[in-house]
Amino acid sequence: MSKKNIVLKSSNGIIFEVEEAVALQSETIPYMIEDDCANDTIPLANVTGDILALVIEYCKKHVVVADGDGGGSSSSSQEDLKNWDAQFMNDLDQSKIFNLLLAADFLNIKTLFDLTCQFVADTMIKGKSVEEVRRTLNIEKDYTSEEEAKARQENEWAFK
Amino acid sequence: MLVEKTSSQPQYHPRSKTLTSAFDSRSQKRQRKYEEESSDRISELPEALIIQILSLLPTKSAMATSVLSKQWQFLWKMMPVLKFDYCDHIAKTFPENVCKSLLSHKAPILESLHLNFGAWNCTSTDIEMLTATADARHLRELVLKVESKLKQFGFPKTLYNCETLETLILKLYVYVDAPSQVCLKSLKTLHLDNVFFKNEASVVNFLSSFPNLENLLFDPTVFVKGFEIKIPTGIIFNQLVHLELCASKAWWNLVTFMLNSSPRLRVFKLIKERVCWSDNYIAYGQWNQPKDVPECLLFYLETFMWIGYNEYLVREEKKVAKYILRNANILKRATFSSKRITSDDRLELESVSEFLM
Repeated sequence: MSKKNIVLKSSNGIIFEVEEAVALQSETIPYMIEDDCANDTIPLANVTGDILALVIEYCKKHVVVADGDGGGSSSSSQEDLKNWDAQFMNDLDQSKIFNLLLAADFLNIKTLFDLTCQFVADTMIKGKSVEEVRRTLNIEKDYTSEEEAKARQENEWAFK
Repeated sequence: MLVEKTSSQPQYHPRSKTLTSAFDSRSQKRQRKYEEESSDRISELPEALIIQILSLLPTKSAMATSVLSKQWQFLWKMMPVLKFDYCDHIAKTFPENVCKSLLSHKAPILESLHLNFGAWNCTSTDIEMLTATADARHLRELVLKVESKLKQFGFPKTLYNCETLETLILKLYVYVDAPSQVCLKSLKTLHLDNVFFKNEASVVNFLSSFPNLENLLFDPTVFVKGFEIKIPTGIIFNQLVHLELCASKAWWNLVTFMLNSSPRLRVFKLIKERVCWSDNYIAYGQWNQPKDVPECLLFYLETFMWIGYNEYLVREEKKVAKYILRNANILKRATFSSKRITSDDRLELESVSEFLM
């Protein structure tokens, strides 16, 4: 059986042709295939070309190869995949990470979504002081000192 | 997650701005072309996504985000999962503080609450207070752990009326005093690591409380010698598919009872890993094979595991193992793991299991 390809089009008009198994890691794409004609290009109005390229890179790495016995096995070992994931995320700048998070959410690729959320939690918030988190994430402090003190007091034990 | 988001479309900002964050310093050499480093991207995310991210943090860190900005003040209160660990907090009033945080929690449903106490900062009253507060938040899953080998805690009575609870995992020494029958009708998964019963009525009432249980891990560890538990009849776990039974010395009439009362059982694990501190407290039982072959053996049981012998297989244990192997019609997998299983034992068990599918 020949492998079927799916054509995806980013919001800025860049075309990607990928194997069906790669694209179907997204739970959103099957609905889009049903809605449109299967042979047509699937337009992804929410995802730009550079982000879609990243999504496809991730999905290609994580594609599960059917082994013919009804089960499936990943093309890489779990350990390799974990290391690859860590490197993949580390190479991205913050803007791309948040765009990737939105794309993974929109395309409903659960493992990529979880990976991205976990990366944000672990590297941008966890173990950091309030000031450090504000700096890392460019969050503007809109509290007055009194308001902040009050907010801090409300959950005082979280700061001990 | 299929909802289309029109407002959150990623956009290019070709002129990169100043790099400020600690994270970016690591990747500052990379593709600055599309960066927009000084904008607050996380606060622009849909609230549901921020809450997802917060849920991956230790609850303490998530709570601390409340002082980042006004927008963040209440976000942690919408988290569906809360995990409080006494190790993270030096406050002596740990249970009171957890309770206060639970009271200010705002999510319509509390999917999961994990509480880890040290024995010194927790009493049965604290546990009652916390479970009552969590119950009011429509709790679905409770994982409660108390790190103590000696202190006993009463089974939280407020849970007897909890209508939303689906998963209950108690990792502590629980004392069950159930004077009357109760009904946790939503409960599907129950893990009781160490459970003591006040009397026979408590056993009957307690076991009758979970009509829709699907997964049960049950470790009725210590029974005073001579206190023979008469197993109740007429209780049926119609939904139970996965059972793990722990016993220092097998409590054989419980095995018979559970097989008879769980007609849909597919996975049965017997676990015997703990060396009990005093054999005097164990009621040795005798295996009486069921009058009729239990329904689960005839039609459902696929996996049978016996884990963690620390001693030679004793006569009763072999009888039980052989009975199950012989009568489980559609058994696909039987596993015996033991440090000291002898080759004779192996041959004996293999001879009855040759018909395994």
